[in-house]
Amino acid sequence: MYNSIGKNPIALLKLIYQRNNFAAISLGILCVFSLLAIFAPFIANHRPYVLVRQNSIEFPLFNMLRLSDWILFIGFFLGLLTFWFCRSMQRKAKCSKRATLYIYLGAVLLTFTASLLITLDRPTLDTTDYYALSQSRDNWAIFAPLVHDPVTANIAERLKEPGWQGDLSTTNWLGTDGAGADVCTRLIHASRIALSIGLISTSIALLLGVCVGSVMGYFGAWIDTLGMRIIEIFMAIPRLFLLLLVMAFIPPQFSSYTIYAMMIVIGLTSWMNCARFVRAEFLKLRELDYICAAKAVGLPRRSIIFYHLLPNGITPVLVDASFSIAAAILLETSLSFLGFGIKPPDPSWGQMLAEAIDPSTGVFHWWLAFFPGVMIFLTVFSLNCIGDALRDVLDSRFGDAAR
Amino acid sequence: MTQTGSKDNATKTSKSPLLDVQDLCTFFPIRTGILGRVTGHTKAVNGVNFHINEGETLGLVGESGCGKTTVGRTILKLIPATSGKVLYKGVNLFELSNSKMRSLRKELQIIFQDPFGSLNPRMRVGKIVGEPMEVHKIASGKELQKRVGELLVRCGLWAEAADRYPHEFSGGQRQRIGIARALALNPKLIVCDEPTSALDVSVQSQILNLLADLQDEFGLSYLFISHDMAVVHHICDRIAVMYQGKIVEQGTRDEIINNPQHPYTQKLLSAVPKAKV
Repeated sequence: MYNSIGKNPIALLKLIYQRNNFAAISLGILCVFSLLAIFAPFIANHRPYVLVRQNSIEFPLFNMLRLSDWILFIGFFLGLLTFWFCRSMQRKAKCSKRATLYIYLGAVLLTFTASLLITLDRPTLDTTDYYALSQSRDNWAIFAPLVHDPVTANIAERLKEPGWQGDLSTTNWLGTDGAGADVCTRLIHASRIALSIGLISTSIALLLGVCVGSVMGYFGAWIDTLGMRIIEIFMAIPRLFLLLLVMAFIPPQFSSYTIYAMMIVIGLTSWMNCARFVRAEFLKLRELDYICAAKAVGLPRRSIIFYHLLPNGITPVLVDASFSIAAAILLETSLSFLGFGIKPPDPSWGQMLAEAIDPSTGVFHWWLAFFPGVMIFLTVFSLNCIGDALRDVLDSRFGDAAR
Repeated sequence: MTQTGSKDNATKTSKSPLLDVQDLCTFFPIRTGILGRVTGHTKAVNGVNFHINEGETLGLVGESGCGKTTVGRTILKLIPATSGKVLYKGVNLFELSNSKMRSLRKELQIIFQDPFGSLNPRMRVGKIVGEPMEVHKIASGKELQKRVGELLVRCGLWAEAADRYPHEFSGGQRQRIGIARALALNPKLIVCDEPTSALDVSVQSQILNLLADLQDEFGLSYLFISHDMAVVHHICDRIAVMYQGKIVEQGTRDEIINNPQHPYTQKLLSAVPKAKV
């Protein structure tokens, strides 16, 4: 039963990797998607990294990066650093756990704020045709792998089918949509929005759920009863329709804030499972001898809850979190599919899916349905697989026998 | 000085005892129906009287389910008492405020039966033993590490054990960690809740000897809860026999073992597989 105890997240990931092939593949897919999301401007952008024009050197891509992009990159590299730091700490027997915790918190907070800021400031429009510029004499440029504008579309190129079009970087590999924007570019930029909605709404839900659940589980009695009734009330709310309602009441001038409204509403309506798990774990753990011992030595409540109860009762919450990220992403895509969520020019998988059938002619463009569908499917499927694997690894009932 | 039924404190000496339990009752409500109306009570502890003098070991014996453990935990206020008094150095614990009780907890400690459930699996041993000292501001930093090391060595482990997790130890070693945690605050009284019954026989005697040594060294008093007459005979000065929430007989060790008065005590002794020690 102790296989998962005393292990840090890295060791957990390793365990998942070793045990479950499906989950290992899913982890890989998610890693690729997250990388695509984080480095989207570097992967699909019509602005070159470097542009040498006659005698001057310009960096259009870097100039276009927003503060939020920078914070996201810094957060990412900080995360990598933490990873490496933890590995080296693991080798030493003695390590200050608190230091690791602080670094973790710092990294998490940074990425958190970064992803919050992602759509706060839209990139400035820049309709310069850099590609044509670079083709002329005296000029040369280094471009991103996909040379397509993520924001503005070219009407002349609308509804191109996927396939080779004669030029490596300007080919629309996955075709173009009804407005003439490159599907592949939009998919990559949309993964940012999908993943950030999933992560942030789940963080809100976890924060709320853990707080409510631990209060209920620790104090029990009437607080528990009251909490359970509140949870039941919240569980009766149909989330999709509440979201539709909220979206409908957002005035058009605030349409760029819909993403935050979505995060908050999804977060506020999905904390119940988490709270119930934490409560159940606390009720179970409360009776154990080591909690008794903690009370007997006169430890303060804060220590009992955060150091004795929570670390031992957090595992079902972790499992729930990965399912809940998947659910949040699905909710966002379905909302955008219905036309209430992310609106153009911001890309979203669901919204692209909805464009597959031309509203005026009723013609079905298969590539507009297939590729966003694959992205949604892969993301949600991987997250569910990982949740499943986490449950297997963390569940003490299977223990070492499952190895 | 054997007494049955028990109401008065006949064994009271001129010196007042360290711990004096008077008429202690702990009832658990039985709730039925949707509304959870209380329809009755399980009388786990029903009017228990005993006392423990300083440096003395009182054995509390009885079959499983007779309320021994509940007595031990009620004394430490881990389970709320229904009525009665627990006087520690003349102070009634049940009337103390939470903050006063917290500082008194330093002097009252507990050792548990199950060495696997009594240690937080996600904490290093050093933290398990050291946290009480930290919270009660007995030691911190380097000083804390040193004291934890000393305690672990005193309890038959080694100082480096502080960096390990509980699951890396055997049952007997874990019980030693539990004892080290209880000792961390320099207690006066330790409730030993069947500390040896989950261990195999050779380890049992080691733990018992450790407890006896510690008693001599630190002048501890024990409330030793057990169902094993041989163990109780080995370590206790006096014995109280408990049956269905009541103490049916108490007296010195030799009185109880050699001349049991109450029929239940006689049955209990005859049930011991050849315990002629």
